[in-house]
Amino acid sequence: MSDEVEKLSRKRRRVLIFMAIAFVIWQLAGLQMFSDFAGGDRRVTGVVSLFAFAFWAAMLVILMRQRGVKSAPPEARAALDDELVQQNRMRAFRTGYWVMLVTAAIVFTASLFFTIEGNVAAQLVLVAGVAGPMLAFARLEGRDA
Amino acid sequence: MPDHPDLQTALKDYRQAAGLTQADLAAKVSVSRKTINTIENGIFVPTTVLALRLARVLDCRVEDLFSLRD
Repeated sequence: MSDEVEKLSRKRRRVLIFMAIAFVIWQLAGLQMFSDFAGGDRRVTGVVSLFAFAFWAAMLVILMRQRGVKSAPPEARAALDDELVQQNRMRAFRTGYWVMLVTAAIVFTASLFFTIEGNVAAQLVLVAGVAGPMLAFARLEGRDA
Repeated sequence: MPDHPDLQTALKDYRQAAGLTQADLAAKVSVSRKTINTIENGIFVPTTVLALRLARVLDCRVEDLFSLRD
């Protein structure tokens, strides 16, 4: 059972990392400021954003289907959401809170020097709030693996 | 980094004395092997319920498994 639990746990961790990275690329590539970095060509960032979205969606399907988890014995399923996992999840959310605060502070400071539209600021904070906990959870799950 | 540096655990000693691997003990208390490993390394402090389950499986008291450093 232990091998199966570890295999499924590693898979979940890997999927979360890929999802977080794809989500960040999908969201940020669509912003005007990143189009400017790419020489003002919105087609390049548009294609990058589209591919990242498609990859993120595929990862989401994999995560939701939970192949292997549903067919696993009850003990294995319990082990996949045991006390350590629950604690890691709580810590990841706490990290996400701080990541959002820091991002908001950075955006606020940057807005003193550059013009940042409200919707862009909100998007940056939201992206940090989504990707931060996912990566934090993956890092915590990788601890002592 | 340990959650509670003051806490020391003898879980590994008791587990080895019982002739169990981390995976064996994990299966008996329905947690992952990694959870047992992090408890033994002092990284994760289990809840009272899990501590009682571990003590029951290893046929000892919770105080035998966990104690505070002097």
